[in-house]
Amino acid sequence: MSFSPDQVLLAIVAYLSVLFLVGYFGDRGAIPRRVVEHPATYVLSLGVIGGGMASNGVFTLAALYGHHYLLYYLGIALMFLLAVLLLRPLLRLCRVHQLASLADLLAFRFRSPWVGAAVTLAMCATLLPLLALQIRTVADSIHHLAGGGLDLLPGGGPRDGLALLFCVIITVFTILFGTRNAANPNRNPGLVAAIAFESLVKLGALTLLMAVAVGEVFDGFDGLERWLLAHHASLGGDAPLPAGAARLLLLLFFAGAVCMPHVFHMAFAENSDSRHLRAASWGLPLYLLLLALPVLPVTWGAVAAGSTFPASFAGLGLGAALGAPWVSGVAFVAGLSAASAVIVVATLALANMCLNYLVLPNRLLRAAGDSGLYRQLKWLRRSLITALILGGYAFFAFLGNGQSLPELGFLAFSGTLQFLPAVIATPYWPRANRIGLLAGLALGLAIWFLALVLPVLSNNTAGIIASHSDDWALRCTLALLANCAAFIVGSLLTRRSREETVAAEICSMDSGSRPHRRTLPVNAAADFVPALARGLGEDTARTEVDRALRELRFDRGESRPYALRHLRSRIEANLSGMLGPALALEIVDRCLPYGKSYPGEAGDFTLLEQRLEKAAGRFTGLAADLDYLRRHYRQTLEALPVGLCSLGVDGEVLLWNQSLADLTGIPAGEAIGARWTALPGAWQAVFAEALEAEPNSLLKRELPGSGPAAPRWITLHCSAPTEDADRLLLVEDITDYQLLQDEVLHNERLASIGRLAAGVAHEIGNPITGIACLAQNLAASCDPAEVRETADDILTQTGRISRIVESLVNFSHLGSGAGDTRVEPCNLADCVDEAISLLSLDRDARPVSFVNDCPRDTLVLADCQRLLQVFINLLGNARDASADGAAVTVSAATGESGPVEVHVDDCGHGIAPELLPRVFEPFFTTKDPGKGTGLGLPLVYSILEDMGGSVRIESPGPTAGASGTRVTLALRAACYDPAFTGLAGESAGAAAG
Amino acid sequence: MYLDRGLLLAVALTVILFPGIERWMFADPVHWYRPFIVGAAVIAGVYWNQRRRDFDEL
Repeated sequence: MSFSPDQVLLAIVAYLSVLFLVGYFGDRGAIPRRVVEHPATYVLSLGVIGGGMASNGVFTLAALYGHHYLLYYLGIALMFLLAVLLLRPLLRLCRVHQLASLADLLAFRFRSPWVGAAVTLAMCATLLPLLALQIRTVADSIHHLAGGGLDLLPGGGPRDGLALLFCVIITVFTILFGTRNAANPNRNPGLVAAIAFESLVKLGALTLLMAVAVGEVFDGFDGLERWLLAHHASLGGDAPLPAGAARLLLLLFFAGAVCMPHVFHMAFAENSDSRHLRAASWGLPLYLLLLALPVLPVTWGAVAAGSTFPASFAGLGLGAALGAPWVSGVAFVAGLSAASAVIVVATLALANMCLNYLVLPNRLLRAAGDSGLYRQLKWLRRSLITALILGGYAFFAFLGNGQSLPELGFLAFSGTLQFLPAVIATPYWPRANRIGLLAGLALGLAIWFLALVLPVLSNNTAGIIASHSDDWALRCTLALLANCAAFIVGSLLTRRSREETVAAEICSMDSGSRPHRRTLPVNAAADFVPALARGLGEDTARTEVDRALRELRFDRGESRPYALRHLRSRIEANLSGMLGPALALEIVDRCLPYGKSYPGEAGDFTLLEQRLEKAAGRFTGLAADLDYLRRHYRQTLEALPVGLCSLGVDGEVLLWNQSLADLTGIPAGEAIGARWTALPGAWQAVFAEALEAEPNSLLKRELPGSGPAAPRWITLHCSAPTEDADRLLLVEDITDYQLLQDEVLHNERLASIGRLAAGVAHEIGNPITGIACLAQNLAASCDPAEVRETADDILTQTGRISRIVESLVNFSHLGSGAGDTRVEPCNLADCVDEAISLLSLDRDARPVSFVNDCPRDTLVLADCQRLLQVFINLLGNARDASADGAAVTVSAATGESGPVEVHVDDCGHGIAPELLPRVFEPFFTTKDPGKGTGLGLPLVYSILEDMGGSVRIESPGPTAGASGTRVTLALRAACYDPAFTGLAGESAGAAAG
Repeated sequence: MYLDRGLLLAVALTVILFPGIERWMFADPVHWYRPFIVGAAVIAGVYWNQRRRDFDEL
């Protein structure tokens, strides 16, 4: 060939530099974000799965088995075509819990760092053949391309020196690629861009080789067909792959598509948008289809052109046979790009696994307070990358040249197949436990090593793939079956821990995780930093808390319990991406332990609601029906014309509907997830009163207006408290109703004044007539004594007029504004006297005898003017119901500590029992049309309620004969302060209020 | 768990049609590209089945 080893090594450095620059510009944003985060970029980055096997190994398979080489692509494509079954649930878990590797996933599911460590060790062992495959791909390519090698190592072959140089170069580039972002090594947009670029290069190179083979060797597709007719045997049809072996190969590659660490890393850890998996479910199979298309033409082209190179290097052989070095160069670039991508991504993924499960569990506790955690992580990761690549090189050097590339690939894929049972069990078998997993993995890998790896290591097989026997397939199947059997039996015979049960629920497809509300030892987001500093160091803790707050769009002052729980979960997820789930769980549990759970396993409904909202439109079948019902009921609650609030047993606001948000001015987003005790002052006081009130009682309260806003009236109705049930609070704005009621009250009063007008005229007319007569007498009298007597009489008459006018004025001014009830001590007997006096002015009314038997020293807490209205209404009703000359008695009885009970008894016709429940309804009256408005008793009820009292009616009354009625008012008592002339205790407090 | 109906239909069709398709694909070695036509058809079917459905839940 026309290339020297130096030139080829220079080409390697140049190509990797280009790859590095693509990654660098991708990280720095020089490549537009829409390109880096485009689904096509993600799909192409998944092309990393086609490493040296796809660029070189499949040519051997094609040469041996013809079309059966497609099993390699079909197995991988099937995994993505059926993404909905396995990849989608795994992606959900990995994104939510920041799981970046298979070790993370299994350690999270089985809640054990030992599982993570075991999986990491096993993965390193099974990946050594894959790394060796990539190294051999490049080393052999250089050897074929340059026709020689480098004797760098004593006792080593020329390829070993080339391979070592390649390993050194690729180690430097891998470190440059993967250890720049220590805080989050799993999200690396530059790496995604670089691997996508590599996939394009690989596809372009193979397509170009196909074009050369078809155009230069066969002179077009017709020539290819003619050659095929003439060389039927070259299709491999005479040496078909045994059926069992074909099925196993399909399964191997199917498993590899999810178990291989580099594929797992690109598919899950580097996934920036879960919708991209949807594109990958058809995009990656399409890419693989295009990648598979050139294989047969290039293989046949190399044979037809007379290539002397091994089948795996058909592209290089094609160039050599055609005497076209550029064709060989293209084939070399295809192999180099494929191999380097696998080495970079696989070692990065493995290094993270080793760091999280083999190194950090022993180091971190000593370095917990160190603020340079990120720097330590970076250097540890660099060391591990170097060690892993050198390990792959050592395995390559140990193997020698006895194995073909597909055989190395087969060893790696059959090893990673042992992880498939655990991966499938993660979303589908909640009963699985860590003992079963470790037993199955140990047994399967032991058989894999003894039956497949050991013969290869001892060079005891003359090419297990090329032997055309299915013996190797049987051994591989045996390892898998033993693994499954041990996994199942171990899981069934042993018990799961509580942590495993919870994790199984979270991972399970059939039982959704139900987050619970639990207490935290912190009260605000700012408290997280000192708490986490105990495990991470202050700087790292602050960085992580700020990052989580930024991602969740919370501020540092956030104090809602829901938000704090959410913040804790996000921090754990972020640490999981950096340190692995086991260590992250340990640190967060130690620094921010959850407190008690509330009775009844109180669910975190806010979080649950958010999850369901995000899953909108994705449900099918019964789940869709249930979600439809949920939305319907949710909308019903939101659209309720009264405010509705649901409070958990811990006082957390779980529901805050739109009406309540409008009424309080507090948006649902601020109230939900907070405790009611954190509500603004006025509302906090009102809620406290409602929650402490008698169960199912209706509380009516006035809220002072803020600024120019008028005061508002609300009623609160709270459900009865229970140990483990939420409490419901109905809040209704009755300001309009209250204003209307006050208006009606005022009108009723004016109507009363109208009714009294004739009596007033008569009452005032009599003294005025008397005054007129006295004035005439005064004009004729000269006796000073008589003049003085006449003047006294005139003053008496004017005093009488003044009292009448004063009563009327007082009555008419009563309650002229809404919500102006002022409770104060009020003499009951005086109030009854006033009412009787006013009613006596009505000359047209039925003549009855009002008797005031109330004790003269009884004080009640009431609004005197409104209480006067109450007595006028009640005594007026009693008079209307009584016969002429009958007595209407008002009496009062005071208990030792209870309310004052005032009885208004009449001897009238009473009220029919069936009408009694309706007498407090507005506009209901038993009087003749035109004689009653039906508003008197509703007003009495309303006024008494405002004053904290109550009213009830008995008919017939207990003491008023068989046909009378007794109305009983219960009023709060007030008392004289014996040590002071004023009023004491309750009355003074109430008056102040 | 609810399986995609399109997926169930695809599995049923595969079971029923696979023997015939396999014979057609590999009957004539000259038509080496036939498996790729079948593959492209399967990919088109998957694309068509998923074009309206968004299974994003995150």
